[in-house]
Amino acid sequence: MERLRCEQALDFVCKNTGLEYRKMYQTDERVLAKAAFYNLSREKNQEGFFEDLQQKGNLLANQALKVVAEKERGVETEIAFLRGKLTDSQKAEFDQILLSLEKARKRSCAGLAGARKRWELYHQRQESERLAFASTDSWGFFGSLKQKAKLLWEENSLTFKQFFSFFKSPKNNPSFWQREKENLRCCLQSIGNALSSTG
Amino acid sequence: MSTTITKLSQLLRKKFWLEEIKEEIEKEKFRFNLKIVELKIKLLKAGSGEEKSQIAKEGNLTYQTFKEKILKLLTEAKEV
Repeated sequence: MERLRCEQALDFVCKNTGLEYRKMYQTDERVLAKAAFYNLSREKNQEGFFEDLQQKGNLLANQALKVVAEKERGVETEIAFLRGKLTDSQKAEFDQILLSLEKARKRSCAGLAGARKRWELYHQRQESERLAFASTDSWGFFGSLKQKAKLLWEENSLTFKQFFSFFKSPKNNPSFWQREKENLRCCLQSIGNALSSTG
Repeated sequence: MSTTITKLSQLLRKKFWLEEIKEEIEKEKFRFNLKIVELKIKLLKAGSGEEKSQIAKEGNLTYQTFKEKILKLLTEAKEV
């Protein structure tokens, strides 16, 4: 369990720093322990955790729907087979019953379709709210930056200067970068101070 | 012939019961997705780490409840 957590943490670090997993892994086994120590797996974007959860849930529901649909197909095949045994007048009567039942079903499904539509609208609204929030708030960004710096420094795989140049030209949104430049400068400064004070 | 009719009416009940179950699964899926989106927004607005981990716990609980409901529906479908 602990190892899994560590590996997840490493994945996160590699993904966000461009460092090679294998290289990091082979260079120093201790990095596993360090990653766990800094709890990067938790920091690994809790939003991502929800993405995974959502994906898992949808997969489960889709599988369940598939199972039920298969069973339903079996029943329909059986119905078709038995219907073939009916006389013409019975067939007509049977079809009429089936039709009225289908109509009743469609009426009850209309409520669900409405709910789905509302869900889509809600989701769109939430998504735009999320994006607006993300553009005005740098939640997690500098926190994880600090953690990454600390981890890399601990691992001696990157000097402060290298670290600085690594983040100097982020591939992220340039306007975001511009806005947060001052924050980043302070952040790097504090990391620099921490590094120089500990030698 | 009466056996065929009886059997057919049983099968029809099965068919519609299975459709009910499918609809119920869809509804649960819908509720689950809605809850997850709410939690994602809550997470973005959360301040402390404690608050975030509380939200993550809520997410786990939501998933567990959802899973139980889906499995229960699946069992029902298998018993139909």
